[in-house]
This record gives sequence, structure tokens and C-alpha cells, in this order.
Amino acid sequence: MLFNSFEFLIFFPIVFILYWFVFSKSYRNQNLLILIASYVFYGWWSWKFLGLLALNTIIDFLYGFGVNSDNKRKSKLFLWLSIINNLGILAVFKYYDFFAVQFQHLFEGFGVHLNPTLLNLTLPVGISFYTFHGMSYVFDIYYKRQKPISNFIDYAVFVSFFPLLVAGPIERANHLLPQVQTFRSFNFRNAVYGCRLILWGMFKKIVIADSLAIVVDLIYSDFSGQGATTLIMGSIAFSFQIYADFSGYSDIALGTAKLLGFELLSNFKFPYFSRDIAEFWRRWHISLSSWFRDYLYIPLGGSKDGKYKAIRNTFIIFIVSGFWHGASWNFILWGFIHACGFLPLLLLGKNRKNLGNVAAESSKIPSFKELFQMLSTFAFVTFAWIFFRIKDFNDALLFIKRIFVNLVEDPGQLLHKPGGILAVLYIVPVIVIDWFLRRDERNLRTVKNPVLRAVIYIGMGTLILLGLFKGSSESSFIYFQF
Amino acid sequence: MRNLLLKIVYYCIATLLVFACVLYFYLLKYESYIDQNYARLTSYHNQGLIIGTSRSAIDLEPSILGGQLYNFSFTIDASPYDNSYMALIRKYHQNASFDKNRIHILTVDPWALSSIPGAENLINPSFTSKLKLEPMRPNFEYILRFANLSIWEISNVMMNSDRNLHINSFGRMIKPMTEEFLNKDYKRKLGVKIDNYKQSETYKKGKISANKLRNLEELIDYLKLDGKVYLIRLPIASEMLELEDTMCPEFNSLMLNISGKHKVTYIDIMPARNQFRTTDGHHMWENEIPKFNRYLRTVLDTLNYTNAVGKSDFIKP
Repeated sequence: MLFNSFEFLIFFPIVFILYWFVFSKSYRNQNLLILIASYVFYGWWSWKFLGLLALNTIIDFLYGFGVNSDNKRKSKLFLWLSIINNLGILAVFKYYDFFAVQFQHLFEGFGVHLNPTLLNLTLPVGISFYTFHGMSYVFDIYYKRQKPISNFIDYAVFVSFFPLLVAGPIERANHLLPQVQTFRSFNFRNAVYGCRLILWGMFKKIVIADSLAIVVDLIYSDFSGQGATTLIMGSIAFSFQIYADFSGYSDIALGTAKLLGFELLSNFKFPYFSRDIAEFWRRWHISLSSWFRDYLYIPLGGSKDGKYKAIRNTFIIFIVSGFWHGASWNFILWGFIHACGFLPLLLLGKNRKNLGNVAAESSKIPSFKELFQMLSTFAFVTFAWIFFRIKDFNDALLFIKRIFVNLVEDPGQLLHKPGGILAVLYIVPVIVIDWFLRRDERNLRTVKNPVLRAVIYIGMGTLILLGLFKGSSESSFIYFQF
Repeated sequence: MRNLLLKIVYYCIATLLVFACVLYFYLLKYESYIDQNYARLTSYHNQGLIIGTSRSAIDLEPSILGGQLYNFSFTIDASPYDNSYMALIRKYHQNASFDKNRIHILTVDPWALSSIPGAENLINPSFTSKLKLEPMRPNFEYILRFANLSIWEISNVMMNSDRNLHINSFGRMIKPMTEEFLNKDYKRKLGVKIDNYKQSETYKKGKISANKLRNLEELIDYLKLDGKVYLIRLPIASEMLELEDTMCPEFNSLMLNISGKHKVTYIDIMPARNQFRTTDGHHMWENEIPKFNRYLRTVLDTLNYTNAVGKSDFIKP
């Protein structure tokens, strides 16, 4: 089930009413309802993969007890079994065909012709997300941050909690499980805030991202016929499309969870106001980058064992992070480009420079230096998105080459309106609103005047409703595919 | 809790009211621009019909061919000769008793009559199979289920509705393009189309479908009760024709057999293809359409004059 569907508009109110009026006696009842609702939510897409979700849940639940052993060897053995199991399932569904084809190409280079059997399996929606949920539980037990829990329903709710089941945020066991095991009572302020988050998230997805998708698809699907400025416009539009799409999903997830009495981890903190790549990664898909930091980068030694190992570990997490997005070279390259952008900061020891503050912290507008830093970081990120958006490496290079060659051949086009200029109308509101909120992403401010506030909410609601009538074209969230 | 639920209900009602008002005023002014299908689905058609895919939707202009025609062609996805399109034709066409002056044009090509073996029933042919209600205006069933009402689409229509793809009162799809753009873009666009078509499953695995041929024959018999029927193969670029010849080298003889069997006329205009420019190899350029339709009218008038029935004609340039 998609958040941006009529089904969800019916599904969630039913769950909400049952949750607070029928199952509200104890947290166990609430959890049971959430579990059933989560399986309905997931099964709406494909009931066939519910078994895989259940299997994943059971396995990690059981491994949790083994990993908790006082015997270090036994604990480590179960940790590795869990890793192999989780990554094994991911490998079969997501990566097997990719590796089979790569080996085939490799051997062909040596004149050996292999004919591997490809599985061509459908990738279960959200598999990368719920697998990482389960792994975080086992890791946290191994590192003694979390005790194994004895109630299977509670654990199953942690893994399959429907607001974050298919596209995150990737929750940590030691953050979400205590909430799952506590009675939730209704809080009016939180619920109102949750509604605002859902409204803003829906608006970003349905009105902003889906509109930008039209421009982006037009430009990217036929880039060989476009001028340089149009291609640049398309790239910028994609940067905002993917941001509005994914952060919109996260906002809806956070808002939905809030209405059920849960606090989820923030996934975005205005990433396009970052002043360097290191800051960008502290603001973009935070739950994934912090997952890799805590469960991969730090166990590998982080930056404590000298510069060489810090560089090696940085490249590993960026490339793995790219590969997590999909079994394709373009994602690996995307990760590699970001690692290259991070490298100078690491070498100069400036990767933690903009930690804990935000651009124009104590003023309304950024200084020239900050503006330059933000624009150059955005340009770098947008450049890297080209490799994310275009699967074929040669096509991505052609796209970039066309921008430069076309500009040299016809510099006059800089004076003309580029194709897709209408996209600006959708990008500017996101920038403006984000800028005013930048100091606190959880403080989604609202207008004080009640009439104006009602007009804004109804206006947004109408645009969202119009956007739901999309004809036969399905509009899934970009991150569902990962 | 009660307070929150009440607020949500009030906002939902207010939003629905505003939505209804926006939709009402939008339809009032821009109804015919909703999309390229909508206008054809707002009434019954008691004229002769032009049947086919996007080629005939764009190429054939009833106001020039003869005002008693209505262009009821859609796209290759919506209107190949599949079962749902056939049902839609029967639903929207108002049969008159035989009128010797009324003609029906069925355009044919290998793409429209092919399907992938084993996958014919798996293809979901968009709105044609899903429209349940009778034609009406406004056609809310179509608008709410199949039209794109997003703010992008609405603002795009409102800002440049004259330049948008839309349907004229005779059902033809208008697709404007300047000569400057055509000259600059034609070769590239043709190359892209050819590449895309070569990569398509229909090209790689498609075969002329027995079911679609049967549908075509049944449609001929059905429309013959209501006037004369012509099978027409529209002109396309030579590069496109090569693809079609590779897909189905015996296509013309197949059509000749069918036309002979049902005593209708098959007209292959392919030999005259170099006289008419297309925008992408198989859709005619807007400025060529009057010329082409006058040409076709002359051909049809000649056949009508000679009262040729069951005769197969290959037009010589």
C-alpha cells in the first residue's frame, strides 16, 4: 500500500480509530493491532512476500538469544550466523543476478564462456529496510546496548511497524523497542503535529515530487536532444524531486507514527543547506548513514587507526551505501563519487567542521561564504545524482558531456529560457519553507492567524487531492525500489 | 481526541468542497483539453468511424475527408484490435441502417495487429477495458479514474492550452510542431524511435495475432451493416517501413486476403510515403495533414465513383 493512495486514506483512519478506541486498554493490544495492520499494509502490495518478512523476523528474534550469550565465542558465532542469514536473503533477492552477470563478463574476458542461471526474482519492497532493522537488533544485543526481548509480538512490531516498513527511517532497536514495550496514551499536541507532518509530507510527494518527475522524465528520457541549460535544469529538478519524494515519505512516516504515539528517528535535516559533503551526509538519509557509521565504519576501526585506515573505511562505507541502493554499477559509482568528495575534508581534518550548527545560525540570510559553500555542495551532489538517475554509465557520461559541449557550441543559450523552467515554481517553495525551518526540523511552524492557517491547510489539501487523481499512471516512492 | 477528529472532519469537508469547485471551474473552461482521449468519450458517435492507433488519431482529419466521419482512434496501448477496444467501439458507435454514403476507415499495420504469443491476455489495455458506464458529458467516470488532475497538468493546460495535445470536434488529435523544430529534430527523433521499437518486446517476439485478425474481420462485418468499409495502411518513413517489413513481410497479402474475403477495399498508401513528412517516422506532421487528407479523399472519391467493392488498391505516387 502506498501512502499516497486512496487505500491508505481509508486504511489509516480505520487503524487509528481501532487503536485508540478498541485496542487501547494495554500496549500489548495496541501492538497486536499494529502487527496485523502492518501485515495488511505490506500484503496489499504482495501477500506472497509476507512469508519472507515473517521468516526474517523469526530468525533475528531467535538469533538475539544466542548473541546474548556470556560466552564470547558463542555470541560471535550467532552474530555471524545472523549476518550471513540476513545478507544471504538480501543477496538472493537483490544481488545474485548482478554478481552472476559480472562473473560471466569477467570470465568472458579470459575466453571462458559461462552461462549462469539468472533468478530474475521480484525484489520484495522494503527488503533492505526491514533486513537492516533486524540486523540492528542483533548488533545492539552484541554490543550490549540492548537486551533480547522475550515477547515475539513486540519484536515483530519493531521489524514490521508499517509507517517505516518499506522505506524507513531505519530504526534502532534501542530507540524504538522501548517505545514498543510502553503503553502509549493519546497526546493532542503530538497528534496535531503528526497531522501537520503528514500534510507537509503528502504535499512534498504528491504536489512537488510528482510534478518535478514529469520534467525530469521528459528531459532524462530524451537527453540527447536537449540543450545544456535544459539538462542542468533537469538535473536540479531531479535533486529536488528525490529530496521531496524521500523526505516526503519520511515526514508521512514520522507523522503517522506520531498519531500512534511513537517518535521515530529523523531522516532529513535540510540537506541542501549543507556547507560541505560531510555535513550533507549528516543531513541526508540520516538513519542509513548513521547505521553504516555505527555498524560498519566504527567496527572497521573508524578513523582511530591512522589516516590510511580512515580513508579505506570511508570508501568502504560510501561504496557499500551506494550498493545498498541497488545491484548496479551506477549506484556504486555514485557512492564512490561521494567518497571522493569526502576525501579532501578527511585529509584536511575538516570533516567535522560544520557539526552541530546550521547555515546562517544566527542570522536570516547566509553570508557570501556560506552561500558559496552551500551552492558548491549542492552542485556536487547534483552532479553525483546524474549517476544515480541514469543506470548506464556511458549514458551518464554522454549526459554530462552534452552539457559542456553544448554550452561551448552555443553559449547564447544561457540567455534563453531553458526547457522545464516551470520546475522552478515547485522548487522555490521547498527552499523557502525549509530555510525558515532549518534550525529545528521538528518545529514545523504554523501560521498564527487561524483563518490564514485554515486557508493554507485547505489549499494544500486540495492540491494533494487533485494530485491523487493521476489517471492510470502509478506514482510510487523512489526509495521503494531499494 | 474528539477535538482532533472534529477538526480533521471539518478540514476534510472544506477540502472536498474546494476540490469540487476547482474541478467544476476547470471543466467549464478546459474540458476538451483534459487529455487526448477524453473528448472522444463524452458522447455516442452516429457518424462513420476512423479506427486505429495513434497514426490514424493524428493523420486522419474527418473535416477534410468528409464531415460524416469521427476519428475514434487512440494509441497503440489503448486501441490495438484487442477485445476491449472492440467492445468500446460497439458501445460508442450508433448503428444506422445502411447508408451508402457513410464510410468507415480501419487503419491497419503490423504493430496494431501483433501481440506477444502467450502474453496477449496479460496486457492491461488501459481505460478501454475499464470504462463501465455509458458515454456522458462530463464523463466523471473517465475524469476521476483515468484523467491526470495534478496541479502540474492543470497549470500546464491553463497556461498553454492551444499548444497542448488535444482533440478537435471531429475527434482528431492535434499535435502542433513548427517547421524549424521539425527540421532540427527529425533525424534524431527518428533514430530514437527506431531504436526504441527495435528494443520493444513486440518487435522481438511479436507475431500477427489470430485473435486480433478475428476482431478485425468481425469489426468489418459489423461496420459493413452501416456503410462502406475501407482498410487503409497509412504512409510512414521508409526506415519505419523496413521494421514493419521485417516484422511481417507478408502483411499486404494478409490484408488483401481479408479484404477479398469480406469484399471491402484495402488501400496501401505506403508507395506515396515520400510525399508526406512525419515528425518521428510514423506520425504525420501537422502541416502535411490537410494535403494528405485531400489526397486520400481523392482516392476514396475515385473508388466510390467506380463503386469498387472488394478491390485492392496500391496507390502509386
